[in-house]
Amino acid sequence: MTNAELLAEKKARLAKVIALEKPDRTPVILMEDSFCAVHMGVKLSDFCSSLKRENEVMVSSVKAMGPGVDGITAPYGAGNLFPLIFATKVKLPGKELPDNTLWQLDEREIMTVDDYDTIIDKGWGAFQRQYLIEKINYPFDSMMEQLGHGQEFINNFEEAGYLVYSPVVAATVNEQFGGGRSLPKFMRDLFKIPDKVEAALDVIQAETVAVLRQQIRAFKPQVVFLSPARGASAFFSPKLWERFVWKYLKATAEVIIEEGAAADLHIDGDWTRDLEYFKELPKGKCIFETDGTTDIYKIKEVLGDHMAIKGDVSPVLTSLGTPDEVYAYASKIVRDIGPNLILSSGCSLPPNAKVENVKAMISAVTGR
Amino acid sequence: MYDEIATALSELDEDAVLNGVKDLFKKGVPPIDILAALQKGMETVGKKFETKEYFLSELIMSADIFKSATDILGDAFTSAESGKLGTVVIGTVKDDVHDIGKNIVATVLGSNGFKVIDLGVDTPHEKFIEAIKEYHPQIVGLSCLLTSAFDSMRDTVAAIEAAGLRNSCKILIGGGPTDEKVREYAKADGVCMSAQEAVEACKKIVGVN
Repeated sequence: MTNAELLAEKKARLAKVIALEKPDRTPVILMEDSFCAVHMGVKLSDFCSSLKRENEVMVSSVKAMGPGVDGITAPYGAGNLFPLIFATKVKLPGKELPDNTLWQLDEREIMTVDDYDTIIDKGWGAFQRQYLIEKINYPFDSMMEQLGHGQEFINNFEEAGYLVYSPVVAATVNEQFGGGRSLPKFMRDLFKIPDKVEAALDVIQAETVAVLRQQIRAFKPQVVFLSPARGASAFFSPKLWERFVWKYLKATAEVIIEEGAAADLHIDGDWTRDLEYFKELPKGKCIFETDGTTDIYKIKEVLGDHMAIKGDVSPVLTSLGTPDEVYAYASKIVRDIGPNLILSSGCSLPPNAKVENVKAMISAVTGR
Repeated sequence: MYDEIATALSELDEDAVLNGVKDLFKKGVPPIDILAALQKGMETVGKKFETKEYFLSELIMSADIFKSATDILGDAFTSAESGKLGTVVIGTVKDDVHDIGKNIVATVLGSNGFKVIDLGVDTPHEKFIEAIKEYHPQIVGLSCLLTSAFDSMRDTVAAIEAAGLRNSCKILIGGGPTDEKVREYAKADGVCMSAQEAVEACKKIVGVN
């Protein structure tokens, strides 16, 4: 089978799972970046020196895992892009951190309450660029230039026969304030100045969705990754959650679907309370991607006949567990969740995941 | 008035709490009594959290109101602190700079009657040992968000043991990826899955429930 044929087979397999049809086998999608660097013996500082370098290392790592892997979540790492999503600083290995320490959000109150007014008055795009450059010292223009090579990065995987699961990445707009204001300050704002926050979020939403439509039309992705990670039900009371999380999550997912892609809902944290809401999204058009905090069996019970489920081998298991433990858990969810499952780690594979554990996870589908 | 302040705090009515505290303080009511009313309000908040009437957003807001209220008491609040339930030394372990979760836990513990010594982030185990020697805490809290910091948690517990201080305090861990397996790996005494769980665990350790 040629790589092109392999790729076509993997895309068809994924399409069946998303459409809630029965695939020939469970697809395996690796959500990983820093793990690839450690796997390939590359320092994290070297790895995140550019998106191109990240892409090279990630392609090598996926190839080394073998053809049983269907694909990878994104064509480059997440660390350099965090400020675009969370409006906050990221500390990088080799810069603010030692060479092999994982990049980390340095989250504090950088965005002010006055910035809500600026965003409402002047719009998000103009504010964001200036804010990131001046307040966060983010190499905005360089990053935009690098992101312009996105199709090349995707091609590097596809030519090797691996699909890039979600070439387009989006986040719900609350993430910008949850990071920029810091989560505690943002939450306080929701009590003290809710109307102003909502007005600012509406401005960001309108602009973000317009850009997202353009990206989907340009890349024609099968799946778009949508992160509402800091919107977990456990973080917000129902009224706040409905108004400041679900409203934007639902609207953005609907845009993704309207543009012809499936929406991968990256659900970190505990969302058990609000699982029923996800039934409002169109059937067979979404993937509930759980990090394991929301119980995968509960997700199947509530949403199993409505959307595919992706997950959820935990980072604790891949880093501290044995291959037998990982194999046993991955095999269990392949069997129990059934044809709606996309096998993956819960959130990203950690850098200290053991290679033999990742192989054990894959072998739950391909055989040991 | 005490009950009104406690109720207002439990209902997150900031203006009512602050006005009530100002009023009592002006009347010369002992700060320790005002503090007791505020802590009663925080206890109710904790109960509402446990019954899932409140969530993290309400915990944060209540702790924020509590802080504003105690700011009114100023130095008098510090002297009223003699009623503290116990001392907690807390920090994010070495190689991890995340502090949002740790800060929330520290704030909520502080507003529930504990004296909290916050060592910050990327904390080497030597700093924990120095703090244990200086403050004699009943509880040491280790936080991390990164799985790659599990080794730092384990090393910190081992260093506390090597320094002969392991039996002087209970060690609790917490943070996004931590669970019972991580607790076993780190050889800690307990794992807390939320700020409120941390409050309950600390109260249990100091014999208050």
